[in-house]
Amino acid sequence: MSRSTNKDLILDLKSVNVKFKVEDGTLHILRDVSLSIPRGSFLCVVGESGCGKSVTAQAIVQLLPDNGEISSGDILFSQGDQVVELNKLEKFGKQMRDIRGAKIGMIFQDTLSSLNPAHKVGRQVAESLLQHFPISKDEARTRVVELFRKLGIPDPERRYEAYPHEFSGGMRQRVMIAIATICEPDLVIADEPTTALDVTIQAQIMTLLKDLQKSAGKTFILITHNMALVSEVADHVAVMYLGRVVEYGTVEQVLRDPRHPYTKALMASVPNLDADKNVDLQTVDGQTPSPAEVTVGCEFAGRCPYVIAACTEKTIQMTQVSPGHDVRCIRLDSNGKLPVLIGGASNE
Amino acid sequence: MAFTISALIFFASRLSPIDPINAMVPPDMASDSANLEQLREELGLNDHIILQYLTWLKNIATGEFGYSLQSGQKISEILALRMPATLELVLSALVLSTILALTLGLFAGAKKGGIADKLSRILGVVGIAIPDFFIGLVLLNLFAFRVEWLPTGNRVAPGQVTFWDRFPNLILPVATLTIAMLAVLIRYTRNSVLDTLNRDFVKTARSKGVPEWRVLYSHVFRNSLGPVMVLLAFRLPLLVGGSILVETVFQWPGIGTTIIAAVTASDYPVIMVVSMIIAMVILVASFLVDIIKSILDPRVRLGGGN
Repeated sequence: MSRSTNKDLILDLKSVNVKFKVEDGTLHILRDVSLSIPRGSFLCVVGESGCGKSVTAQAIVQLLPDNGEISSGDILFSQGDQVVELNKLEKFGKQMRDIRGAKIGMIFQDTLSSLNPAHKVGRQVAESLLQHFPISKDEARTRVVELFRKLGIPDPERRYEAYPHEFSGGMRQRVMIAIATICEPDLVIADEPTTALDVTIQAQIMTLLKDLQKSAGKTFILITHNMALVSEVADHVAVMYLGRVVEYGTVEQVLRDPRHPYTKALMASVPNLDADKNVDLQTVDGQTPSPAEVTVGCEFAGRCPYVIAACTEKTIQMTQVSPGHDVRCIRLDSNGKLPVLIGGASNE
Repeated sequence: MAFTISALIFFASRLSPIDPINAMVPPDMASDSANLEQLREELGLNDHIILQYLTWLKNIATGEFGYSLQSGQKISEILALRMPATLELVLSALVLSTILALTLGLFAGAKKGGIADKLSRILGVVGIAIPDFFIGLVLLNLFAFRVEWLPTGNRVAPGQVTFWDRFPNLILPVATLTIAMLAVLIRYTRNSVLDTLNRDFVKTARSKGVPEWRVLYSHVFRNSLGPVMVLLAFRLPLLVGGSILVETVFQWPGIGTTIIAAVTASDYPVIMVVSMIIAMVILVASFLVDIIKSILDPRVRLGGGN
């Protein structure tokens, strides 16, 4: 699904490969990840732990851990009518830093460890503002307080002076959102922002993010493993498995009509209130293979009920099953349907 | 706490089999037992031990440190004479080693495998593996005997000469003590910086587009200081205790050499007073640690903030 550079795309990842150096060799963490993200959309990247969701986010802003690097591929970010190749920029260089925070905001999962325990929260939000705009400290403060109020932080003037440990988890996440959005970036990447929060706070935070996207016309990338969340907020979904995008499409396409065997299995494992209480929840059989194992062909083959010999012979390409809906599977027929399994799962 | 320590110091010194009178009186006069008995009575040594302890405690608390058995000098006078020498030596080394260790440690941690890291590794191994008195001897041999650039130590008393005249004498002892103090501190700082760099808020700071030097200075450094400050605070007692070995090597007329002399002569009053002062400084130091920690980390502030 490599397309030519399109002005409607705010971010375009083209066959991005990320490798991590470890003691006994290199791990190929992202394999040919291609994602085209239209301006103003809300993309959810889903998949189980270790599938490369977070690494994708870190690769975009060049904040991979020291032992990781983008080995090939392009990350195109459009700024106005300019397209910047993010992966070509120096990691801590001025150009990359001018984009980080100002053009692309980041929200992280663990809010307690993601905020500096020794600095007041207000200062931590203002830091971003002062970094990118030539304004005075007082002005920055006024704007931070204003944003705090908008984000539903009670008594914002007083809370400006508080330290992270004096906040609840939900309030800290609002502070993180303030850090990510204070400079009005075009793109916000949220890496599992609600995983550490309880369900009611989760809903509040998601509503907040969705409102920001709608009212300010921002583009959001939400990384999550919570399928219920996806159906609520996303308009596009990318399903990742072991460093590859295996299915990509709109929410309706992917969640209502999953085509890849992995997406199907994932959807079947989501608890449903209407389901028969006597039937056990489905799980995806088998273990996620380690990224250290070199595999040919489909990474999911070892756990897939539809597997045939051809699945593990060569790299599987993305195929379009309907406009905007791409699936990485060779078992789909000309209508984009998987064959009907006879007698349940057959592991050849 | 202070009382427990004072009791320990007092009773431990009384446990010693050596009779203080014997230590005080020259052997040729010791045969006159009537005189000795009179002296014993005068010094209060025949009183009940608890009463003796309370008297001693009262004297210490009011600044009456008593007299040295060895020289008959007032202990407070000895301290006043010796303390400046030790302060001069230890304070210089403490300040120098802290500045060097923090800078080197920060750069070593920030750039693993860089020049600062390699230098700090060498200094660390040297300082930890080689005892300080040996470093002192090597430096003496090199700079005072081989090339004769520097004097061997031997502090020149202030007053008669200017500071710059005394300065060369200070270089070798201070250098020795600095190297010895530097080693552990540098490793501590470096590891603490490395730990902090791996914490999530550093990623947050970078995600704001903050330049690396600011990330280091504003986010990493301050959060790395906690464990370093603890180590530093517990070195403060050296200020009054001196470094016995380094002072001995350089014949530095400080508290360290005073302790040595007092111990060899069983000069109990001196030993007890110096021990007591060192113990008090340790208490103050641990109190300081708490204060410093609360300044560095708002989470440990009393009352949980406002």
